[in-house]
Amino acid sequence: MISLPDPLLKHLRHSTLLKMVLASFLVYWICMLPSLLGSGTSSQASVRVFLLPAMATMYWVATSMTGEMGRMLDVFGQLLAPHPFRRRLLAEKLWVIIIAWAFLATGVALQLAMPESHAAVLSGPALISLIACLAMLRALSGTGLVAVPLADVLSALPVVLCVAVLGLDMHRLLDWFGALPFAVHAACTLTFPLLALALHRRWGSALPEYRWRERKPAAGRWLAVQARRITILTWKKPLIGEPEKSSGLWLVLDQAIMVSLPFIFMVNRPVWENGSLNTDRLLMSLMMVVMVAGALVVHDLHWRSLLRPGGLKRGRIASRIWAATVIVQLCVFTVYAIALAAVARLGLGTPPEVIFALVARNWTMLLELPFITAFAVLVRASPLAGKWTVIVFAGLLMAVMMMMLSLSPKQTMLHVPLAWYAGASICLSAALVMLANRVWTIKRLFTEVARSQAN
Amino acid sequence: MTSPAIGANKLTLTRENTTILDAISIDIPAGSVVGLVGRNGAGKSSLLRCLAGLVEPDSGSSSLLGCPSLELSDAVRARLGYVAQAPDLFEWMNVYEHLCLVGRAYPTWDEQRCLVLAARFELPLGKAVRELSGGDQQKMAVVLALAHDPDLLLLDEPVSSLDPLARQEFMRAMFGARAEHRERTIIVSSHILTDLERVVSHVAFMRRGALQLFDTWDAMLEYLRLAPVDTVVPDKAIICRAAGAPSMVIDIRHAPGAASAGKVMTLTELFAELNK
Repeated sequence: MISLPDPLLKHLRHSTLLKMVLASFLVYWICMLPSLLGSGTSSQASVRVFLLPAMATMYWVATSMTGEMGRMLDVFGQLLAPHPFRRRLLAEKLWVIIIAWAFLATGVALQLAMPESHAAVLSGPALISLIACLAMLRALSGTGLVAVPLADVLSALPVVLCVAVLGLDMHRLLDWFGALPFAVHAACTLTFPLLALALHRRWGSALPEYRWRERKPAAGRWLAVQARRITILTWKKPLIGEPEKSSGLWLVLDQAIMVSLPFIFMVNRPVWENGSLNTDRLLMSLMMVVMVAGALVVHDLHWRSLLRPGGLKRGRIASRIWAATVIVQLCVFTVYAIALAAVARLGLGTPPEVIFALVARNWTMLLELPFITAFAVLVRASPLAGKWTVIVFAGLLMAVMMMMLSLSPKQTMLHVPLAWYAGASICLSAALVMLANRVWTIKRLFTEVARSQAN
Repeated sequence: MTSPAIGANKLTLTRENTTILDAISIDIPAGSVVGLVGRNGAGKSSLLRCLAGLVEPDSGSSSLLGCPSLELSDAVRARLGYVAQAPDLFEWMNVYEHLCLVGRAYPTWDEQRCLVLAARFELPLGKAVRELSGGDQQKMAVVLALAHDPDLLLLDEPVSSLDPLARQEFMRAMFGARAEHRERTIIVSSHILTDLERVVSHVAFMRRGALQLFDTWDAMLEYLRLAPVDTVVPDKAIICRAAGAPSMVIDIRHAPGAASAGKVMTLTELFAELNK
């Protein structure tokens, strides 16, 4: 019987996450059984909904476990440690990939074997195998564990997959793949087991020797460095980018969540659309001021940059905060828009033109975000700014909004030409920033930083 | 005569048209403590990596405990310890988990010894490795290299991030009494010459990828002198004479008459003279 090597599994970087993902697949699959045993398009949709995340999970498991194998080779290789234990660790990590593959491939195959499924049973496992194989070969080529031919081509795999997923009609592609002959499916299904067997035999006889190499900074490392350069002025949690206090990538995640909250409320219905200004949405957007005021960003608050000539220009502190916050918001918004587009494309099958139309519909956010941020910078600097002031402010806005909701949509709409709307947004933003510049002082800034750290 | 614990024969390494190691040959007897010194970029780390088999030289060969560096057997690996300048660690584990995991790779790993070492270095066992300071990561690398009581240690600037007390502890750990009175060979690169001076039996000076001088430290103290540049000595007695310098380093074994003309140097002084 195959079993996970528990004493060592706890040393896997993502062991808990892996267990949770596989367990959630199991729960999902069990929940979907009634619909699969039924008939109609819903069962087809269930199969597809299972297949795509299963492929993504397989890619992640194969990539991360192979990456850990490479890390094992690096650490134990650098220590000049004896080979037997390293061999055992590699074998155990290979087992983890095999178990994930077996679990996912079996789940997909069982779904495809249901009465109402039209696709060939082996087409799912074939796709899972191909993904596992390609992901592993790609990761292996980067770790030095195996000299993989066409390593450069394989390194482009994530980009190719993303383009394929977003740009091609996945449903049609899956139908085409499902209609291929049995022999092709069988051959594809066997690719991963054969690769795993080959690696197991190869590493069993001769473990690859570790060779020192100059490390290139990873993209994650670059992100972490960028994250450490920014400080978030929160109401509660300290989120100061200090390397000793928190991991840079977690900081990025924290920051992304903090600054992306407003978008979730704003994308559904734009404030301005086709010459009409929705006043209820405008008020709702103003509520975002509270959120943004609790997640203002200051860039390069390091003593080195503070001490350099003109490091923290007096009279322009608010401008700096405003600009840094808007830049981070736009970066997060871009990522958020791509993620939404991916979910819409993959999960719901939304055509690309509909997604582009949705993005285009919300373009006025580029005017509203700077305005809201400017307002937030001013609110944060006012002497009364604080938790209770903000709560009262939010309460008042809620009350006004409730009043607006009681009116019909036509009554809440105002006819405002685009030029007026854009001009007013820009001018008001500039005025608010100028006003905030007069209120923000170095003392105020460091009081806010200290408050962020102390709470 | 016993075979050397560390041997290198014309080790040459070139990267991007730059000579990193220039035909280095060296034999280090078992039980020696060799200080590898040189300026930044002299090739110390590259030499240690080549000796450890972590980098494949363009030509030449090396061996550790009689085994070719590029084909180290498991029996030899179990007797080696290596501390890299920038140690690779499992950053997602905590210190204790990391020590335990690495310990399982060595048949002679002594968990008690490991924990005693960790305590002496004041390593926080429950802390995540990624949260350790640079100094603590270096201490951890030292503990990982010492806990299996190796016969041969290759140390690449192991104390560069350590405070004086931790350096003291490091010296005690390296040169403390060993079980069964086995001899340990150590080659250590460092810029803290005052520390090295107290513990080394041999010193190897490197300059621009070449081995400039290698001898026992006692011989260097006894025979090397800093003499005025106008001292008359045969050419073979001159170790180093920089253009325009008022003095030169001479070996009085080749010029016995000049013994009184020069002065004995500390390791720091000798280093400075050889790198003028």
